[in-house]
Amino acid sequence: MNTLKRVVLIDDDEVNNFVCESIIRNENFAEEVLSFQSAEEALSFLKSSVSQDGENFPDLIFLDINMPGMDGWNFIEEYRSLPEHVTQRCNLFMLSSAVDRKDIMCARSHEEVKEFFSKPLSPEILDFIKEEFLLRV
Amino acid sequence: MLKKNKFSLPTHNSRTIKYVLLAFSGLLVTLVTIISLTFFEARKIQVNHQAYVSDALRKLDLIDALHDNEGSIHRAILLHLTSSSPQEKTEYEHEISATQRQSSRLMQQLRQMVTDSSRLQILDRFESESAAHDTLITHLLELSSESRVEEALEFNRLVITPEYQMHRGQLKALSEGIRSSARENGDESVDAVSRFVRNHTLLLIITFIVAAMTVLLVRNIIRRLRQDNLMLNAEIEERQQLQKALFESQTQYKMLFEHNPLPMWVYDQDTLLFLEVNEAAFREYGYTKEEFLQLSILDIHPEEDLHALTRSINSHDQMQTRATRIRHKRKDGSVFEVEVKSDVLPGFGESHPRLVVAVNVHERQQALQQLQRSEKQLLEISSSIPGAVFQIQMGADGAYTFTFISEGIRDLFHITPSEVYDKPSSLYRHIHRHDALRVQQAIYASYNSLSPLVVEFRIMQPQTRRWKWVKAHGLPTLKSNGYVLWNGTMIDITEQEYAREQLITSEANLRALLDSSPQAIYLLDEALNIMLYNAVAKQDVLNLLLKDIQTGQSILEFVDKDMANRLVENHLKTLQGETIIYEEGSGEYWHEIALRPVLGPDDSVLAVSLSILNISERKLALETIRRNEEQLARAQHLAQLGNWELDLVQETITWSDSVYEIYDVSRHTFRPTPHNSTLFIPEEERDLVRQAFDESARHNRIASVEHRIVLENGSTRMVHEIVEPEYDADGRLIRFHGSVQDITERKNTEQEVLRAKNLLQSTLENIPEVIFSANTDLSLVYVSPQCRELTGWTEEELLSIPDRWVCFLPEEDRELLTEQVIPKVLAGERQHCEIRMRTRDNQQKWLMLRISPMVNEQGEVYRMDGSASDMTQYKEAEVKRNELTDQLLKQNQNLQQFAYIVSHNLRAPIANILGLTTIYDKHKPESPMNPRIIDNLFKSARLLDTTIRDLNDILTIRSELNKVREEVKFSKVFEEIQESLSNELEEEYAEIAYDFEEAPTVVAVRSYVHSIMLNLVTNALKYKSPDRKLKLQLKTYIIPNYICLSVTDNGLGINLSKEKGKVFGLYKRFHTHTEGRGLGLHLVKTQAELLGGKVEVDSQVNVGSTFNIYFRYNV
Repeated sequence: MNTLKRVVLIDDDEVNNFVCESIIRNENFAEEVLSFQSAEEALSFLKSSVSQDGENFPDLIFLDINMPGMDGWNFIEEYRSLPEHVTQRCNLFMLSSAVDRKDIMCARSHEEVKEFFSKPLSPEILDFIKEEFLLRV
Repeated sequence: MLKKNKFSLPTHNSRTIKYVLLAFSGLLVTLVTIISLTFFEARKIQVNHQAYVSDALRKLDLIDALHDNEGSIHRAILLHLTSSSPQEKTEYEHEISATQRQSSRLMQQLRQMVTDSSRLQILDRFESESAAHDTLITHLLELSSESRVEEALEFNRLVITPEYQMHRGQLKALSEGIRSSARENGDESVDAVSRFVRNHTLLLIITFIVAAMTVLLVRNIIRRLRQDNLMLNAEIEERQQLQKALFESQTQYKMLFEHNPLPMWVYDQDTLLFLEVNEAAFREYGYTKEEFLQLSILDIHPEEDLHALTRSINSHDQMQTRATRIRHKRKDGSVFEVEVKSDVLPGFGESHPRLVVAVNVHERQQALQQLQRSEKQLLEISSSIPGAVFQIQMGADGAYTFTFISEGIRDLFHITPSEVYDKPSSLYRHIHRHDALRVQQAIYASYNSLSPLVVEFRIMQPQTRRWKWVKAHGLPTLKSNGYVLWNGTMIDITEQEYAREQLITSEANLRALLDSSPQAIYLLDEALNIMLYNAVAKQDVLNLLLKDIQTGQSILEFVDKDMANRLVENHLKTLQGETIIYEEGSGEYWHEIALRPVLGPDDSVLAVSLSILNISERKLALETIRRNEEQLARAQHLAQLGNWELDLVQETITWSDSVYEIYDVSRHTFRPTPHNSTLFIPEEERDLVRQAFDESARHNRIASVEHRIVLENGSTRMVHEIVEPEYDADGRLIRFHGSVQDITERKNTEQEVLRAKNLLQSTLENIPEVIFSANTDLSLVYVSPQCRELTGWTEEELLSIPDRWVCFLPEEDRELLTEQVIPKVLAGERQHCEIRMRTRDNQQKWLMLRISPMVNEQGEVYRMDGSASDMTQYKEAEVKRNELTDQLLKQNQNLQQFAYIVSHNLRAPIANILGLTTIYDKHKPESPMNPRIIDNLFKSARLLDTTIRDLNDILTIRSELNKVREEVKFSKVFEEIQESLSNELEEEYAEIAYDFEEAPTVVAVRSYVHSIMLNLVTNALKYKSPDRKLKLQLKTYIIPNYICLSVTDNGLGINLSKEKGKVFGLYKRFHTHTEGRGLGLHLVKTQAELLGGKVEVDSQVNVGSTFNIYFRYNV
């Protein structure tokens, strides 16, 4: 598999979303990139896609931790309650500016989170994801 | 109701009677019918039966006769046959024929009687057969007569006899039939009777039912009648009462007329003659009743008025009611004025009576004149009374006027009555301004309660420049329309008042005198009641009986029974004028009781003064002396104590026995002299002894000295000598008395003990700890002097109240000590604990107590010894260290948090910049993406800058803490903020309310207060609800230790259940729609906490938020 169908970015930081979108496009990592500036919006999109047979459900999500309102951790709680057959196909990654060990440990402790990455997103990270998580499937 | 009864009763009654009659007649008719029916029925049966029986009897008689006839015929035949003489034969033939004839007659009779057909048949057959038989008999007789005896006999035997037998049988059958029919008839009649009886039973039942119904009916009727009777009785009673009332009212009216105090009469208007006159008229006019009834009304008028009277009578309508004032004449001719009122009475017959009442107004007018006279007199009298008489009137509105004031007011107030009338308030001008209000209040009080007005006040005496006391006394009377009228007097009571003051002063002096007496003094009246008592008495009673004494109580309430009897007895004697002093008491308590009469100016006993002096001590001392003397001798011997006497005049010295023993010389060989006795004293100590003697002689007092004596055998003894000088009347020293005691042993032991004690003492005093020894109940037995440094209390103070020190411990420490430590010590364990203690100057010290149990031979803990060392400094240091550690930990946490957040927020833009540089296409600068990348690079750089600035702010704030704290006015700060935010506030049309009344200022760093308020107001503006106009409310108030600034808005609010912990966190944001960095509230919290305060939030989503900022506030 070469190109993912849909990637979702969840981060209140507009600039980061721009960076991620650009890199993903440049690397031809996914056909479509959707970015949301709040976890609530992202969640409602995911829920609506679930109700449409999960067709629009993303293959991969990059999630930030610190956001006003619902933060990354809260989002994971909600994400957990989505139907398993949909989330199974999706890879959730944390993408945060934090370099704190505590955050990394916390992210690892969540089953849903495949890996934790520090910003900024880079082509190397995308390669790593491809190798480690996508080709294996 | 009554009326209705009256009418309904008779008809009701007659109807009842009718019912009764009906019931009874019904019953009667029924009974008569039944009885007659029974009678007739029975009669009928009886008659029938009788007739039948007599008939049957007759028939039977006839048949019997027939039977007899047959028999006689047969016999005659037989005789005929046997007889041989024809004569006889003929006789028999005749007899037979006669009998036959009789038989046929009988037969004839029987036939008539027999009705029954069967019997008739029998009879007929019998008749025909007897006829045949007769012929046969005739034939036989012929045969017999023809003397054909054989043939005749044969014939008789063959024909006649059977026939005869047959006839008898027939007759018998007939008689049987009749008898049986008679029996049947009897049965029938019995049946008839029983049938009748049966029928009769039914009838009887019916009769009973009817009778029962009748009884019920009658009972009903009786009840009804009784009721009616009651009603009737009530009515009768009522009528009687009415009648009585009528009669009474008639009598009353009659009496009203006759005994009326006003003269009254009735006269005929046509004839003008008196018809009826009452007693008052007799008295008034002097006529008797008889005389009156002879007179006409014209006779009681003076002649000169008659003309006018007749005219007026004629001119008036007879039916009119009249009232006039005219003159009347008495029998004795005297004329007086009357007020006449008359009215028409209902007429009867030809007369037209008129009732007249004549009131003598003569006296009234005279009384009126008298009244005027007496008023004038009163006026004159009032002016002669010392002081002033007044009459004052006051309305509900408080306006008052003097209706009268006597001339005396001139002397009192130096004001004329007319002045008072014109201007009542002018009186107030003279009243002492301290009293004026009281006077006014007294008047209002009297006005409201209508109680007598009594008030004393001072007025100024212009000429003497002195205050004069005036007492006003008035009696209020309530008049119509709320007016109250006082009649009263104002009297100069200055002298009384002075006298009273003097009395009070002298009384106070007396009391002071009494109170200063050390004795308890009571003043008793004749009945032993307490009239007066002094302070000592009150204290005594309180101490001894725990009661309060009060005047008027009987003294007997305070003494016991034995004492009371003596007291009553002596009290009586004192009332006679005697003074009695006696002692009373028992054991250690003795009192000297003195009863003295209090005499009036005429030497009469007014009261009894009872004084009680506590002589317990005196008594005790006397007792002790007596005992001591007794013991002295014994004691001297035991104590190796001797006494001596040195006579300075004769220069001799005498020793008691013990002294010889002490000096170890024999009474017989040694004669003591002043000189040789001093030789016992070592030389170096003789001066010391001499000094003691000199001192004693100089100051005339007892001196003592301890010195050694050297005995003859060379050994040394220690003696204690006491010296007392004696002087003669001229003041010359004549003698010394003294005692000497061998104290060698005691001294030795004492010195040893002292040495040991000194050693211990110096040890104890030189260690820093306080050493103590206490009983098991924690009462101190010993405490070392260091306690002064530690607690501020001296050892004497602590030991005087041995368990007092426990009270210096805070309650929890006391509990620790008494409930945990001491029980273990008492169980035999050594214990140590740290407790706090309040020192004398109210400071708290930490003590380390170490307590060891002291165990006696029985293994019981009888004492606790221990030490207490001052731990205060150590403890304080420990507390401080803990505090510092806590602070450090907290700060460390804060720093970690800060570092985390900072690193995150600093790293975010840096990460973006890094990311952006990787996607920047260096090879194709003209790439369309590049400008956007550059834009975002800018954005990120700006964010980085802002974050660094924020950090700078936060750090600056911390450094600002060292700035001066000053009194910051909330209102001033708020004004500044309003000004700086004026644009935003105007834009929002925000509704702002503030109230800084309760706590207008706070001592704080000005910039902090400004920043806190600014952040809160700005937040309210930022997060206002789009649906409502912003309402902002600021308020300050005081709670213990804090001043609170409360800021309330009606904005979007925060969901506290989710976000509580984060509200004040750095870079925490709750709303995404507006610009915000999550710094404001964090700053608010930081600043409040740096000032030693705290922050709280209360919020509801879409309702609003309240932020409370607490500034520390020390009173």
